[in-house]
Amino acid sequence: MLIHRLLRATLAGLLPALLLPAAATAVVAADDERFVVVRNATIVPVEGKLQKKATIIISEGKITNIGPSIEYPRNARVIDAEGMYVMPGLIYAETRAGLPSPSRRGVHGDLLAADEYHPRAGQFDDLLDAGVTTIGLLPTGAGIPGRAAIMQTAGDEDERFLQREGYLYVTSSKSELREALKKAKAEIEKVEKARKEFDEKQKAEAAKAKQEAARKEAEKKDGQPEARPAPASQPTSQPTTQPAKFEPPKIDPAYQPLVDLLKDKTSVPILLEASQAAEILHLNEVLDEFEIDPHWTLRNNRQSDLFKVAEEIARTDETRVVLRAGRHRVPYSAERLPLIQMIAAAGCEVSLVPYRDNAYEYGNLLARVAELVREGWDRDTALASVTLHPARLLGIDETRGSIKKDKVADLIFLDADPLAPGARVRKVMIAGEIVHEVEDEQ
Amino acid sequence: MNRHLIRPFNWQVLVGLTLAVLLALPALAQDEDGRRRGKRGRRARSQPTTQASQPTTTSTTTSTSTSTSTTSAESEEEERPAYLAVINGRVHTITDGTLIGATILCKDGVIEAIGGGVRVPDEAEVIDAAGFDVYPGLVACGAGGIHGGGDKRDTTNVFGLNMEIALAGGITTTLSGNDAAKLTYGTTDGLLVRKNVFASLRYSANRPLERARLREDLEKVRDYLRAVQRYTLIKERDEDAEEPDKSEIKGKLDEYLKLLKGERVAIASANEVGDIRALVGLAEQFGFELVIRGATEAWSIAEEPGRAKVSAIVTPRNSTSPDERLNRPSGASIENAAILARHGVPVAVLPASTSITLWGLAGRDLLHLNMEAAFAVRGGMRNDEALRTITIDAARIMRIDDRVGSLEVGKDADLVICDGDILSYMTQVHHTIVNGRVAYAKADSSLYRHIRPAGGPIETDFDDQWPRSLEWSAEDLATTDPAARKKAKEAEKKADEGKEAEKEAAAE
Repeated sequence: MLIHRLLRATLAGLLPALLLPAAATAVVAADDERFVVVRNATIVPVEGKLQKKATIIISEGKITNIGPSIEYPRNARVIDAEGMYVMPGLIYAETRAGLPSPSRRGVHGDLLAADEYHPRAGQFDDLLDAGVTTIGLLPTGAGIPGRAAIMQTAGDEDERFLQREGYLYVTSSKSELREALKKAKAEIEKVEKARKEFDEKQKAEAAKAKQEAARKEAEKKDGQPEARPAPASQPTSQPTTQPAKFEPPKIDPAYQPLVDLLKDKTSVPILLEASQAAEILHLNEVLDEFEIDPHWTLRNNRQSDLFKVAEEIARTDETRVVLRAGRHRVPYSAERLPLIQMIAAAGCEVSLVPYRDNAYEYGNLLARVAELVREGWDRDTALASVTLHPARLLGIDETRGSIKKDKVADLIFLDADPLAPGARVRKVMIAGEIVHEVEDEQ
Repeated sequence: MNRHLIRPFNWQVLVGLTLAVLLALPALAQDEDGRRRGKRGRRARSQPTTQASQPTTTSTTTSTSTSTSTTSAESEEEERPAYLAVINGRVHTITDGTLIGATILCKDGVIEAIGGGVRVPDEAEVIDAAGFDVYPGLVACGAGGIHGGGDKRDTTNVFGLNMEIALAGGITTTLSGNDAAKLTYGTTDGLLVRKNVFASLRYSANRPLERARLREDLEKVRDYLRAVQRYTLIKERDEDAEEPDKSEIKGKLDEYLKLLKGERVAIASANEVGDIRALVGLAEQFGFELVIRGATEAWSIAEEPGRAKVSAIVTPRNSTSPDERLNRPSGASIENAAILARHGVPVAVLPASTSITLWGLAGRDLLHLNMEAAFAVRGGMRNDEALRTITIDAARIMRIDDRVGSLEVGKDADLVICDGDILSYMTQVHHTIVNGRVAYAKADSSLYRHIRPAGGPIETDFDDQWPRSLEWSAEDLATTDPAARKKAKEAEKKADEGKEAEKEAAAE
């Protein structure tokens, strides 16, 4: 169905171009096809100011120019966005996308959520309806279930994955996390020990060979003919000329990402789950011990007490936090509490995901963000929390997350301001191609 | 009556503080070693705000000033000791009398000084407890649902509701599972006091086989100990002497070995005279220290545990009917604790339910530890004796009296500040301090702050009761003041009368 839609979209673009009289333009039709132009749009670029009646020029899937009145090739494919708001496609930093969720326990750093993806499973149409263009596909289970996949919600099956080895998802308890990290440390020490032993052995062998050579030299000098047959000399001299290669003992692949992490603190991004304030304090103890600064995903329920540890969550100046967009109350009371704003104010970069990971809630995220803005959260930060911030968390902010020159044209077209009540996503564009359109229900 | 306007939860203050910290971020970022903010964040945490007639908290180093301080000041602060002083209170030391208007100075979670002429450092956080009573934190010899399972340091919910409620009851240390642990609300530091406090025994008349096995095991361990003793005596003279075989002393027997060596204290449940006698006899025969849990009928044979130095954990309000068929005193007595104490038995008091229960009959759960001790007073104990049953004696039974249970220099800074005698039903805990850190402040508690906020004796009326007001305006508060209500009613009446008079005038 999706492929059909894709075909339709490309054909709709191709046919008029082919039917044009050759005399009308000297440029080859195929050349013009490289350009897609969005006209008359109100642009919400997330980075930068809102632009009205603006034009976006897209070439080869990338944004090449944005401005109020810029020229473009006459035969470029034009999308008239009169009365529409265009913003970068939404990015959900963690979702299962409706795929079946196997539950496993223990450390599985070698498993990839990308391997669990199947093109015919999952609720990608619902995600597209909601205007989501990129997701972090979450591995599921307790402990360390594996690595997330950073992927697009539509497009060529071969090009869907932006990263197959995304962040490492960790839902361990304090003791489980400590044990896992200890084991990883032991793996490193195992390799170091083996190398040390190898080096010592090499040294000893080299010394032995040297001695042997010296002895032979002395024998030769003495002028005594060798009593034994010659072949003995060849094998003894061989090992000294050919240095043996060190073969490190195998590291348990399930622990490989943790090993990499301990060796280089920036090599593997970690998304660590916590749901209660006390958990943050407990996990912080282990993180301090191993000097790791992860990003958090916080299961903030309605009566969350996480506001009590907002400062402890912000471990560094670059701590990123995934929060569920919802309303909160002070525990054991009916009083409203701006939890999300408080965690943001403590210095965390907040990415929002739907309150529940299901198709119904996918479409409610913008409405929830609008609620937060009504409660007084900064509008630009709020919009970035569903676009640019998750892009940074997933490490794809170079190419996605805002409408900017040279970024990939992942755009959504809304029929009203994104935060206006009742605003709906009408068109979804991924890499310059309209991949999804939403019609009014009959 | 002067009422204070209290909002149930002042999150603006919290947001303000976090913003202040945020503003100071660039300063923190410069500090090379200060990339990790976990610890510092904990330090910069706001101390609870208090109202005028609560014991007032004043701090010379407010959180705003710390957050705006320069990098060098920040790094200096890391090493500076944390002082907390409680001044002007009536200090019940338990072990050394009551000191009126004394100062307690705590440094890094330990009591540094107690007395009249104590100099309080400028940087100390000060709690003015004028008109308030200061006690050591209460010790409960049994608790459930406050600390986590397994290793308490890894699993305890330090922001848990039960912990907050227990702190509001003045409790700072509990026996959770078999570990003595503190109620360190809001931090995981200094949680565990002592691991594996007791060796648990079962020695009940209902399980004769179990009894026989226990005796057998104890005898085996005793024989081994005697063999070891003999060996140490003769090994220098006799070269052929063989070291006794320890291979069989493992698992349970190893536990009993520690018990007979005096490294452990045994604990066993017993309520009937027969069971208590058997246990006391066992303890005397094998010479180990014993704590009897329950001890309902112990009052009738109090001299026996008294002679054998056996301790008891009792519930004064326990109500077991006497058995009329027996020709001896039986059943529970409210005098149990008093009689046992008179016979020299160290007594700890515990309520009927050792968890925080929010159902069933009110006032019999761990939240009412102090009330249970008050019932020991009803049974004939002196006030100061009853206080010991929930402080120093409870700590002694758990062998943690070197750290908690009384206010002494060098002990942990666990204090309870309350607005009266802690054994009175009217008394409310206003501050609970654990390891020199305010773990509970009534003025900040969403559960208790609305109850008699000014600390006076008679302030509540029916509006204060269920359903609770959650957000109070000044007008709301005014209406809960009986005097103000009366006035308002009168004014209303007057207005009505005036209207009627007008109407009448108009009609005429």
